[in-house]
Amino acid sequence: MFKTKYVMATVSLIAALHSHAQMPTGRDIAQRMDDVNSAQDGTRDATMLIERGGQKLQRKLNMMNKKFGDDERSIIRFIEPADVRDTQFLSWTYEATEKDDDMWVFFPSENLIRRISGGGKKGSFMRSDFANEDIEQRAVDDDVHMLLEESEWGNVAVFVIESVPIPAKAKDSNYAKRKTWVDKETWLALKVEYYDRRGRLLKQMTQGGIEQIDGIWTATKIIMETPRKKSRTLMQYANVRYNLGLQDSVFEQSSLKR
Amino acid sequence: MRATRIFTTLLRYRVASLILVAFVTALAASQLPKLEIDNSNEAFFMTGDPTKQRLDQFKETFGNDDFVFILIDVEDAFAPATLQRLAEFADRLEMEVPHLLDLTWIGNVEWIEGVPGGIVIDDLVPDFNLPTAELQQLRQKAINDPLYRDRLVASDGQTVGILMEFENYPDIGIDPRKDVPPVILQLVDEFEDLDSHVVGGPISDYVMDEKTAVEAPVWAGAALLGMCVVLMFTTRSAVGVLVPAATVILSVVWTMGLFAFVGFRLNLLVILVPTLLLCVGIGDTMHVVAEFKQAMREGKARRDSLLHTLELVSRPILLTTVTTAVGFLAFTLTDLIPLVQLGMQATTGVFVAFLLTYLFAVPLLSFGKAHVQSRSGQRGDIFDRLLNATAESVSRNKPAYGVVFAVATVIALIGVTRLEIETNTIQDLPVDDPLRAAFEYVDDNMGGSMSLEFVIDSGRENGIKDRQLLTQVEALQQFLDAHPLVTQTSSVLDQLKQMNRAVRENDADAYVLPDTSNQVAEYLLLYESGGGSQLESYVAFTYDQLRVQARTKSLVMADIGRLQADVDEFLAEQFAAEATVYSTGTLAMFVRLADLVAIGQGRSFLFALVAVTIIMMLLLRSVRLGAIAMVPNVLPVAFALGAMGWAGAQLNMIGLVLAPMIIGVAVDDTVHFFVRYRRYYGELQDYDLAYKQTMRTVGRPLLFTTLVLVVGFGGFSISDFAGPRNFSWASMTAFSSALLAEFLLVPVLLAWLKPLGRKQTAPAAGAIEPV
Repeated sequence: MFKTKYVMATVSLIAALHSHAQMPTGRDIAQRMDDVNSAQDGTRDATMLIERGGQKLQRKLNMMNKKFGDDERSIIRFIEPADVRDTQFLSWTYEATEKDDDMWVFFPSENLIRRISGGGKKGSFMRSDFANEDIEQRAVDDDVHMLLEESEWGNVAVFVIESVPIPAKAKDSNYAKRKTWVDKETWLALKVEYYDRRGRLLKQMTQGGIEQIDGIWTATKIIMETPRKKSRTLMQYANVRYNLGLQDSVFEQSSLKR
Repeated sequence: MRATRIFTTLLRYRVASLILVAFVTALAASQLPKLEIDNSNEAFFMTGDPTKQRLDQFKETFGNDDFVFILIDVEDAFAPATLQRLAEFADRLEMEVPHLLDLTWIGNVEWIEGVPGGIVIDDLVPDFNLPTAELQQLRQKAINDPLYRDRLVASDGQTVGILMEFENYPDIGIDPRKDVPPVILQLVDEFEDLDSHVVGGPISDYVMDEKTAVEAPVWAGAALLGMCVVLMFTTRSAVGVLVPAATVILSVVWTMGLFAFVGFRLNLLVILVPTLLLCVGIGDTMHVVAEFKQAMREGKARRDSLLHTLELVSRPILLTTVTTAVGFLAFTLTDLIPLVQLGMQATTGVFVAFLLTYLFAVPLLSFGKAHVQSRSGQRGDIFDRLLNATAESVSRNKPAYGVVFAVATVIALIGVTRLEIETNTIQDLPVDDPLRAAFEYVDDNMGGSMSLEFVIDSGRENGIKDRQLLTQVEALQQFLDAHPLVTQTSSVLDQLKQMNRAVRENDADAYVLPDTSNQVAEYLLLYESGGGSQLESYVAFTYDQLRVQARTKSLVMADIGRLQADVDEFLAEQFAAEATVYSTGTLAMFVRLADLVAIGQGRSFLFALVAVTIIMMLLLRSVRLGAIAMVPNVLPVAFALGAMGWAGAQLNMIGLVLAPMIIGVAVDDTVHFFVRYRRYYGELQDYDLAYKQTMRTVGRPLLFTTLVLVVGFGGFSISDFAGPRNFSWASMTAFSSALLAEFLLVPVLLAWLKPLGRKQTAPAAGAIEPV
C-alpha cells in the first residue's frame, strides 16, 4: 500500500516537473502567435459594421501586406464610403523597436501623396472601435509578455497571457495592458481585453470564424466592443488569399497613384 | 353632532393617538437620511421638455457635454519646471478622477503641421525638457493657434487650462456625477503651489449643493427660533410656544420623511419646504391654542374647553388649510420639476400640519389640570389699544386710506414692470464668493465660462461633408465670431482648415476650407486616422450633424436673450443651407428656464387666483363680497414684486414661488376676517360697526399669525444666495402688506361698495362686544 502511494507520488511529481519544463513563457506564446501567419504576403477584403447608439455605419476596404525580412509593409485602400474611395494608406512597420514606422497617404481627388510622420497609432480606425494600433501588426518585443494561466475558453484550451508595452512604446499606445486568451491549437487570440492606465477595461475583442486558408489559421470575424461608449464593430474578412507573390514595388509610394 | 362625536372619540383615545404619532414620526425620521440634494439645471426640466430632449439628443450625438476646467496662473507656461509640475498634476487627475473620458492640456495635445512633402502629426510638446529656446518656440506656436489660444493657454502665456471631459455617466449609484468634484477639489488642495481656479457644471452644482445643505437647517432654525420668540412674546405661556412649535416640527418630519421614501430629491426650491411648512403650518395650532386658552380662562373644564375650541375653529382652519393648499397646488401646473415637487410637498405638508393639530396638539393639550384659575377676559394691552385706534382712524378717514393704497398700488405696479428674470445661478451668488470669482476669472482670462451650442443637422449620412453646407456653416461661425457677446467659436471647420493648410505644406493662405466635398471627406479621414481627438466632439458619428460652439462670458439673462435673438435673425435671413439648425447647451437651458419661469409664474398665479376667488365666493355666498375679499390677497403680490423691481432684485426660480404662495397664505387672514365680518354685519347691520367688532375679536390673532409668518420667512434672509434673500424680503413685504390691506383697505372698500346691501336699522345699543 505504502509502495503504491510512493510510486504514484513520484510519478505525479515527475509529470508536474515535466509539464513545467514544457510550459512556454509569455514571450514564447507571443512569438508563436506572431508566427501563425507564415505567409510572405496576402490580401483580403474587409467589411466593417459599426454600431453605436442605434446608428450603424458600414465601411469597406481592401488590405494587402508583404513581409520584408522581419519588417512588414501594408496598404489599405478604402472602397466605402464612396466619398473616400481609393484613398490609400501605405505603412512600413519595423521590427526594431527603436525605429518609428513610416506612413504615406494618397488623396485621389488631388492625386496627391503626403508622408505622415509622428503619432496617429492611438487614433480611431475609420470611427470604428478599432484603433489604428489594433489593425497594425504589433512587433513581439513592443511588449513584455507574461503567462498568467492555462485555462479553457468556450471549451477550447487556452493560454492566458498579459502584455504590457515596453516604456519606449507606452506613449504610442492607448493601452497599459492587454490580456489575451490564446488558442493552444491554432495560436490565434480568441479574446483580448484592453485596459487603460487605471486598470479599467477599455475594450474587448473576440475572434471567430476561424478557418484554415492556404494552410494558415485565419480569423475571419472579429468583434471589438467599447462598453463605455455602448459601441461595437464587426470586422468581417472575405477573399483572404496568401502567398500571391506580390511585387515589392506594390508597396512603394509611387505605386499608390496607379 | 357628527363632528362632536369625532372630537369626543379623539379625546377618548388620546394616548393611542400620541403613540401613533410617535410611531409614524420614528418611521418618517428613519427615511430622512435618504434625502438627496440635486441642484443641477437639468434637474429642472420635465422628461418631455423639448429643451431637455435636445440636450439629451446632443449628448447622445456628441457625448457628455459636462466638463470641468481648471485654470492655473503661472509665470511661464512653457518653462520646463512648470511643465513638469503641471504634468504631475494632470497625471494625478487622469489617474484618479472618476468617469473621466479625456483630459486635455498643452502637455498632451496633438500638433498637425505641414512640412515639405509631408504632414507631421505629433504632440505639441514632445518632451518637457527641451532647450528653453525650443520650448519658447512651441509657446508661440500654441498661442498663435486658434485651437489652443484662450482655450488651453492664455494669449499672454501666463494662464494654462486643464480641460476634463466625462463619459456619459453610468446608470449606477445614486448620482455618479457627484463623485467627480470631491476628487478634483482634493487634488487641487494637494497641489496648492499651483494657483488654480476650478469651474464647470459638476463643480458649481456640487458647491451649490454643499452650500444649500449647510444653509437649509440654518433657515429652518432661524425661522423656528424667531417664531418661538414671537409666540412667547404674544402668548406669554409655555404651552403657547411649545405645542405649536412641536406640532409644526413633526409636520416637517412627516412630510420630508414621506418624500424621502418616495425618492424625491431636494434642490434650492424644495429645500425651502421645511421652513415654508414651519411658517404656514403653525397657524392651525396657534388658533387652537388661542381659543383653548381663552375657554380655560373663562372657567371651562379642560375637556370642555377643548371640545368648545374644536367646534369653533375646525371649520375655519380646514378652510384655510384648503386655500393654502390650493396656492401650493398651483405649482404643479408649471413645467419645472422642482416646482411641481415643491407644490406636491407643500400641499401635503399643510394637510399633515392640519392632521397633526388633531392627532398631536389636541391630545397633548388634554393633559393637565382640569381647571385653571379664572381670569378676566379683559386684556386691554398695547395690541388691543393699537387695533382699536386703527379701527377708529380708518372709520374716520376712509378717503385718505383709499388714496394711500391707490398711490402705493400704482408705484408697486411700476416696480413690477422693472422686474427682470434671471436664471443664471452663478449670478445668484455674492460677488466675493469663490465659485463666482472662479467663473469671472475664466471670463476674464480664458475666453468665457459658458457656451451656446448650435447643431447643424443635414438630415442625411455624410451630409456635413457637403462643401456648400460648410460654406453656410462658416458664415454662421463668422457671424458668431463677430458678435460682441461671443468670445470665441469652434467647429470641425477649424480642423478642416488646419488639415488643408498642413496638406499645402503649411502655406498660411491655405487656412481656408478645402475646395471640394471630396477633399473634405479625405481630409476628415486623414484627421480621424491621425489621432483626431476632437472629431468625436464636433461631428456626429454618421457625419449627418456637426456642432458649432460659441463661448461667452457668464451672461445675464437679458444678454443671453439678445444673443439668441440675433442668431435667430441671422439664421432666418442668411442661412440658406438645406439643414436644420437648433441651439442647445447651458445658455439655451437658461433661456428655456427663463421662459418656463415666466409662463409658470403666470399660469400658477392665475390658477391660485381663480381657485381661491371661487372658494371665497362660495364661502361668503356672495360674488361681490368674494371679489372684495381677494383685494388684500392680490395687492400683496403687486407690492412684493413691485418692491423687488424697485430694489433691482431679479426674479429667479425661487421668485416664481412667490405669487401663488402669497395668495394661498394671505387668504387665511381673509377667511378669518370676512367670516367674522359677515357674522357681525348680520348682527349689527352697519359696515363700520361690523368692522370695529371684527378688529376687536380677530384682529389680535391675525396680527400675531402675521407676525409669526413675517419672522418665520425672515429665516430665508440668512442666505448666501440672492434668491432666498429676495424671497425672504418679498414674502415679509407681502404678508405685512396683506395684513395692512385687510385692516386698512378692506373696511374702506366694504363701506364704499356695500356688498352686503344698505344699512337697514340702527344697531342695538351695547351690541358691540367689549374688548
